[in-house]
Amino acid sequence: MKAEELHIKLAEKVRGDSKYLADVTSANALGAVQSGLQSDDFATRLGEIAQDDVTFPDIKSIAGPTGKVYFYSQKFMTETYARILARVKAEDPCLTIAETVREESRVYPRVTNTELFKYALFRIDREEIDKHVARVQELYEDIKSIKSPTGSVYLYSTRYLTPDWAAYLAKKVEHPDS
Amino acid sequence: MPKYGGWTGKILRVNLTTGKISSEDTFAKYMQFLGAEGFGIKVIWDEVPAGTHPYAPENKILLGAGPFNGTGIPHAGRSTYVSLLPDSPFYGVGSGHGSGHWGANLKFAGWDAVIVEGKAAKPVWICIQDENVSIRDASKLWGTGIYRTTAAIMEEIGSECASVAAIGQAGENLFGPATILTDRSGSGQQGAIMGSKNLKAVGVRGTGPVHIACTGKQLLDAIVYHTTLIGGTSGSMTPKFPQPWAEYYGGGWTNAKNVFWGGANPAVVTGTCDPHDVQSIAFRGPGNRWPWPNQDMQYSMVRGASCFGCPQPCNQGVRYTKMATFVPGETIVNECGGISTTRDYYGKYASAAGNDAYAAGSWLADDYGLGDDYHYTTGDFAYVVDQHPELLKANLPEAEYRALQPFLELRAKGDVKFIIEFLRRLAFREGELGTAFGLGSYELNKRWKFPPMTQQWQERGMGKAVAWNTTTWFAPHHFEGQQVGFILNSMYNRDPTMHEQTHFNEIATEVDPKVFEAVGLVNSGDAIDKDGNTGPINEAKIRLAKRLSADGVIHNSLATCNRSGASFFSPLKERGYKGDSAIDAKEYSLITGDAKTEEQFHEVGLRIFNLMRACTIRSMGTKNMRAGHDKFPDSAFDHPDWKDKPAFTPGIQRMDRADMEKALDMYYAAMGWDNNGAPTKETYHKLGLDDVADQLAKLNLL
Repeated sequence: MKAEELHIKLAEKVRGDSKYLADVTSANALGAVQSGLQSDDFATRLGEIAQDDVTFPDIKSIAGPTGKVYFYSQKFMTETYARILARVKAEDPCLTIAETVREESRVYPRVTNTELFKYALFRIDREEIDKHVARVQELYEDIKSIKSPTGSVYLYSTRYLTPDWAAYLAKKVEHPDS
Repeated sequence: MPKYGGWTGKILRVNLTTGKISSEDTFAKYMQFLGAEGFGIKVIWDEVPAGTHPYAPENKILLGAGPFNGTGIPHAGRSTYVSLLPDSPFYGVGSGHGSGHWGANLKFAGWDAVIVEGKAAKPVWICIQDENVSIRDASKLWGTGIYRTTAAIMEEIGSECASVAAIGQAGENLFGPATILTDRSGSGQQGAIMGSKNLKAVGVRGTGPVHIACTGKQLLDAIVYHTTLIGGTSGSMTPKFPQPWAEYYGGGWTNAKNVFWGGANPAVVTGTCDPHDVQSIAFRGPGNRWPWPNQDMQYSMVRGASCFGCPQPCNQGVRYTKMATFVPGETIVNECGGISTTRDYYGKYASAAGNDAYAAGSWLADDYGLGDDYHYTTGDFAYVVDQHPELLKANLPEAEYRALQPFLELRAKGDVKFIIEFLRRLAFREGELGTAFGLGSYELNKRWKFPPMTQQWQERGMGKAVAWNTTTWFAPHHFEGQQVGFILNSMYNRDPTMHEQTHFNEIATEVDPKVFEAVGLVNSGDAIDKDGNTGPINEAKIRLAKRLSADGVIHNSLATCNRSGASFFSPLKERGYKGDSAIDAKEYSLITGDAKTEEQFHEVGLRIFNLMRACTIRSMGTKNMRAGHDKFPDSAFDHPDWKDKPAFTPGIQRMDRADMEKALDMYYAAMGWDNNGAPTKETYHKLGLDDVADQLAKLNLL
């Protein structure tokens, strides 16, 4: 198979994963595309594809928290969603929670309801969430929790939010204006 | 074919005292006031003398539509009811807002609005079947709820396509916050005005067309374009959960692969709802929205319900079969406020009130037509019972006080029996409790000798369910955005029902602030602070306040939806999330043939807003609105929770007095008002309101 054909096949594989599986693609999972190539080869070629904004403008790469690189098609997936998936694939729930909380505190900014992590996308065992929420605050000193009057638990990062601001935002989430 | 598209060209006038039914020309006198709210304010200004009591036969109520109703333009299914507000301390003008298909049906019948005046000698309803209008006996309907009344009138008209604007027992018994429900839905106000006129309902069935000035293809193109600007219910532009297509998340779209409408048969999976798929707009919300205390309620969700021509159902249609144990029904169709209101009657025990209390309370509140979506009565009741129970003992006759105790114990358990008992007492104005609460918050405070408002603000906090100021006495609504929200809440005689303003702040939480650049007449990201991080007043915030002042009355006059329909934003990334701030003007020009730019259309809104201001000045008998009307609650500036925390500290909602006075100065100047907040003669002239200025001058109010 010529290099150009292989690149097209790889790009289609990434697009298919993004569109139909709503998942990012790792070089490890590309054996079915072309036997005889090692994952390092795929990683190299996918890196080239992601750099080729002319032929493959929609194929992008994103690094997870451990540095592992994944690929996705911007036609079918946003960088935000890909970043969450790359986090999740590190299979470290505390790290996933910490990074997600930091992002929400920085971007929006808002406090993060721990119920969010029950959403299937995060692939965290529902029964284990409380344990992870406690642990994440031990592991990462900028991650703090706040309990609302109704008992819901919110997390925030002190890098981006003060305790007063976090308290206001938690109250606001629970009592939105209709 | 009328002179312009959109309008029918005719306004119906019904005098319930004399029985006279007449028609007048829309264009000659009313066109420059656009539609329902503008028409109604014009009627109040021209025809209802200052000092008229809201319940007097001399007061009038206009139930109206706008030029978009019935055309198919999205978000144009509303209707507006204008009169003197039943519980305004100074009898100020204001409006209530309905939904469903009533406005469209009125247009199909050939009428832009109905002006009702006088008072019937006995209960009646007004029947409109195209050009045939009659006043009919409602003796058998009086004393019944809105559900039965609506069904009976539809049967009498003989069409399932008929629409009914009706009141329940609350409106009949002059319960101040009572509502008019159109097609069994809607929210808030003016029900007691109909009750005071012995008017049970206005039923309408129209079979004619609404003419438009543009071609059918132009209309279709406009509708398709409009759908690219639609977000979720309440204007949210992002999904609640991360979705593959979404750059941002955390907003109000409740859809997800695992969120379904379980009461439908078969169940509907709401899915990911890519915003390019306009067929899925309905699934973005509602659903398992926050009013329901228990996520299991999504098993009861049957469908969303929307107004005429609106692709975005903001009402939740819920079947909750257990409800039939408590009330004669098992379905509810209402939006978040309507459903959640009854929760707040439980006050500090709200978390104990489960689905039974929510469902039965919501159904009864709708059937009685209690209204109170914005929690005025609920807040006062919870305040008395939870914080000042001595007021109950002091004001209720001993027997009534004793009889109430078992139900208050049920309240503390979240028991549904409490809400059933309590809502009946309110709707029928039973005893001192029903009598006093039906007077509205202002009279209730005086009658029961509530603590001074300064104390209440400290005890209750600055938020819902406490009077915004001691003149208008209405609870605030949508006061996020701090200075802008504060100004808007202080300009109306009721809460401003300004969801569009909330959009700005929701969007600020949901997406990148860059989106605020190039938003129409506002045109600056400086207009919006990040939620909870208020900065000092600036010119952009004033431009936003002025823009929204006009937009509110424009939407209430077009009878379009200010809640979900405002279009400053779009959910589409390729648009940079920018909507089209000129869309109202564009659609108006297209439908009516009366071409107007965004700026010109904005001026129409300012005309209506300033006429409303003139009505208020005349009602209050003072032109010093800064001192008399546009006041802010003390607790905004001074609250124990904020001790040693200065204004403009992230998370601290303390406002700065000097900053707010400066904000008023800047807003008054931008509006063309004097230092005391009264429009100047020049401003009235610029807006084509010379006759208003002349009348105010004669009263020494200019």
